[in-house]
Amino acid sequence: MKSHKAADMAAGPYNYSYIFKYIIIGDMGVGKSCLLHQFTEKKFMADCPHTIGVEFGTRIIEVAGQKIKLQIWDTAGQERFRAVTRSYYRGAAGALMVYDITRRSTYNHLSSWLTDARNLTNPNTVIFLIGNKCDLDAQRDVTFEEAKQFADENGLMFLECSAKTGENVEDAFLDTAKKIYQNIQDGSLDLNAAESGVQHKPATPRNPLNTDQTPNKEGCAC
Amino acid sequence: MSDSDDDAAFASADEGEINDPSAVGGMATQKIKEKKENVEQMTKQEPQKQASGRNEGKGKNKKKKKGKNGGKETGGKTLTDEKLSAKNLTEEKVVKAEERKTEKPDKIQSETDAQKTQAITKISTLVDDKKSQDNSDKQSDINSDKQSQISLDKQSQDNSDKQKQDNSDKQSQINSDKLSQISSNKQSISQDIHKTVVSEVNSSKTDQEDSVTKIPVKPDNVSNNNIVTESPESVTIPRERDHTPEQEEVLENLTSAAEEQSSGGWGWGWGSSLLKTATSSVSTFTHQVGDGFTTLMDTVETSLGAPPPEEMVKDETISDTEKDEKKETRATNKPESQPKTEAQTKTLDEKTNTQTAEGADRGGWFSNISSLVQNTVSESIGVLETIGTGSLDVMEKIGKKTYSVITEHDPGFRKARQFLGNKGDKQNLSALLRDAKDETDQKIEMEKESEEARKCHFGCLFDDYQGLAHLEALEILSNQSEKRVQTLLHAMSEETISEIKPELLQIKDIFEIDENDDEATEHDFVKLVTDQLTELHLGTTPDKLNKVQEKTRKWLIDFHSESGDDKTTTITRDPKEIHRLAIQSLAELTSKSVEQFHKAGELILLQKDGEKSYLDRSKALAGLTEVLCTEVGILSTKFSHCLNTVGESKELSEVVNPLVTNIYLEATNSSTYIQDAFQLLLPVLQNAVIQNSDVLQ
Repeated sequence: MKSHKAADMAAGPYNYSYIFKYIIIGDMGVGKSCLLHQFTEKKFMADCPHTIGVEFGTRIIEVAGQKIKLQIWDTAGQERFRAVTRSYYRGAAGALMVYDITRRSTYNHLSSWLTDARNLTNPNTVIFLIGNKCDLDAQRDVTFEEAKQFADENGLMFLECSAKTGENVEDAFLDTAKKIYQNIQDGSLDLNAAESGVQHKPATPRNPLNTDQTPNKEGCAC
Repeated sequence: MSDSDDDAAFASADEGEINDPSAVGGMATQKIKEKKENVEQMTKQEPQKQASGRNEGKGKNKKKKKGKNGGKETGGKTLTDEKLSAKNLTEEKVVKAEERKTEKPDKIQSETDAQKTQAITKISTLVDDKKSQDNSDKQSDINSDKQSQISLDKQSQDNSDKQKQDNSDKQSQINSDKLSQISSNKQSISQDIHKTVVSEVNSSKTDQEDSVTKIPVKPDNVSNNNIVTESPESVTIPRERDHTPEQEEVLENLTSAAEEQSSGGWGWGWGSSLLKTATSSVSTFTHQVGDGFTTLMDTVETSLGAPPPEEMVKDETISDTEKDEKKETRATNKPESQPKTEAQTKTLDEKTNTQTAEGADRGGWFSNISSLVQNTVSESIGVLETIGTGSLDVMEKIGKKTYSVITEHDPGFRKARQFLGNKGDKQNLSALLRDAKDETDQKIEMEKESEEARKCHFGCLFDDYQGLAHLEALEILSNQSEKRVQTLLHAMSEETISEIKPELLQIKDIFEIDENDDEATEHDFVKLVTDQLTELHLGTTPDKLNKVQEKTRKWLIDFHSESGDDKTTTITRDPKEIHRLAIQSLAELTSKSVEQFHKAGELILLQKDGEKSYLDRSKALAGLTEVLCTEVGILSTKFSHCLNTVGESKELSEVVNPLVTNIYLEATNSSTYIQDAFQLLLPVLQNAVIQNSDVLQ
């Protein structure tokens, strides 16, 4: 579409080399939005409203000396949005699949989420299983071991995190990025393929739009 | 007696009786005086000495050596060999002598002859001095024995045939040299060396002869000796060279080189082979090689530890007495050749010294080497062999010396090398550092620049506010909806399509908004937006939109209220800052607008209730778009106004104008995004219409 193209062109001076698209999926109330908020703002959002459709978060990280912009799509966990959110899986390089360690039902639904993730993303999409709310160990309903076993069986990366304390939150996001970057390096992820979930931005901070503004800036210097 | 006399005697010894028989006698006597040790032996030969002059002296010396040699020689075979060779030599020499006799008058007359004489003198000096030095230096009998042994060994290895061949080879070479008229110094040097070698060999031969025959000096022997040393080549060679001082210099070099050779047992052979190499290369490659050879010679000199001139002088003083005497005799008789002969004598003396000393220690070596010298025709091979036998130390030494010689002889070389090397390195390093610094500076500058650019770059800010992401998500929804609509329509019967079509077309009409270029008039944004969203009936709130709009409006009001009152200002008057704020406000508003449309799209797809007609919702969305675009227009106008106010008051119109232009440009951009987002909703609405129509159910 025209509009998208225009937006892309207007993206301006880049200070990163890659854009990785992440999606966060999982049952309602497992803390997807809180995880995102913790990762992008390093804050815990206590009363997080229900996400409508999808929300977004971004953060620029560095992997192997390369600046990578993580464009995170935080999907609504409500079942009624499932039809819409499925649309957003496409082109995700990483998928964070979240369950609540204090609620077994959220863990039990993982296979359903995993099926969606497998079916709607490309085969190279890195899927990271996150057992959130690990700060509430007293109310634990899902053991680390069984979740770990599930992850191993399905070839998933796995960590228990706490959006509240921030424990392992960074690691989950960064490990995913590292894995994606590794896939790029070893060639298993083709950047040119559609739906790779990775955009490569040649590091050219000066783009045409910037030069448009150069005279302005010069003027401003007075 | 004068030095020149002495010289002449030598010369005559070489050339036969041509030059000065009387002088020869005198010289011989002098020598006898000098070498008192020899007196005993010499007395034996004295009568003959007086008769044939200098030859006798030679013979004496040789005999002396010979005697020792003979004593030491036990192998009868070698003796006979030597005898044979001696015989051959004698015969040959006799013939030559005869020839020479016939040529005598010519030689005397021609200049060439004079040169020859000089050369001969040199050679004879070499031989004689060697011997005389032996005596005068009171070298022990052992030494002389050794030397004689060496020479004997040499002789045994090189039979007379070889010698002949050598002679003839040399002669032909000389002839060719003459023909080719190559008068380069190098050639003459090499020839000198040849001569030296030959004369040495010859002298040793004569020694052997003497020892074998044990005959006191006889006219025949004398003549033989003379002939040997005088071989026509050696006579003719000097002609080409001896006159120029340049050549003399080279000669000296050569002689010193010879000394050097003698300084080491192996060195002798090595040096000579080298020189031979030089000779051949010279004759083969002509004068072009000349320069290289000079270098080579120099290298050889230095590498082999040629004593510097001062040292040579010292050496000379050692044997001062004899030399002085010689000089005296020479001076009277042959003033022209004096300087040269002096130098030659010097060097030759030294040579003999060293040679006797060293050679004594390494008899076997020496003979080997000398034979090598004689045999070597392909010189390079010879050099290699000698080097191979001479051990690596030599090579190392030579390498070092060569380098030092090169640097010594060409001070510019080292300088140039240092200069180039250092300069290159420094340049590289500094350039590297400079590059690195520049790069870092540039990077920092670029980061700053891009950071600043980002701050007032609409696209970047739109992205930062997630407008772009929402637009992308909306686009995904829109594309899916469109596909769905197409599929559904395709699957529908014409009847159903005709039923649905009017609604779809109505909705489509609503989405075709006329571009309203009228100047935006003030409106109640919050109220209008809230109304439209309520009309949309999706449960979405205008909170975000309203917040942004209110924030922006507040700033604008504050700006104008504080306008002109600089003291209390809390709001920037910096045009750049105003511009940044304007762009940021537009980007944020646009982002929220797109987000609003995106949410509306999602909700439209999800809400299955038919409470509100999609036609109404479409109208509400169109109204919302209009309100948003109007607001964008108003904001851009207001910000431009602010800029103009600042520009007027500060007379910065040329600064402000491009900023104003940019604000208007980005406002248009903003409106485009909003309208695009709105347009993306058309398939979503159509999809919803079909999905929720009674027709499908």
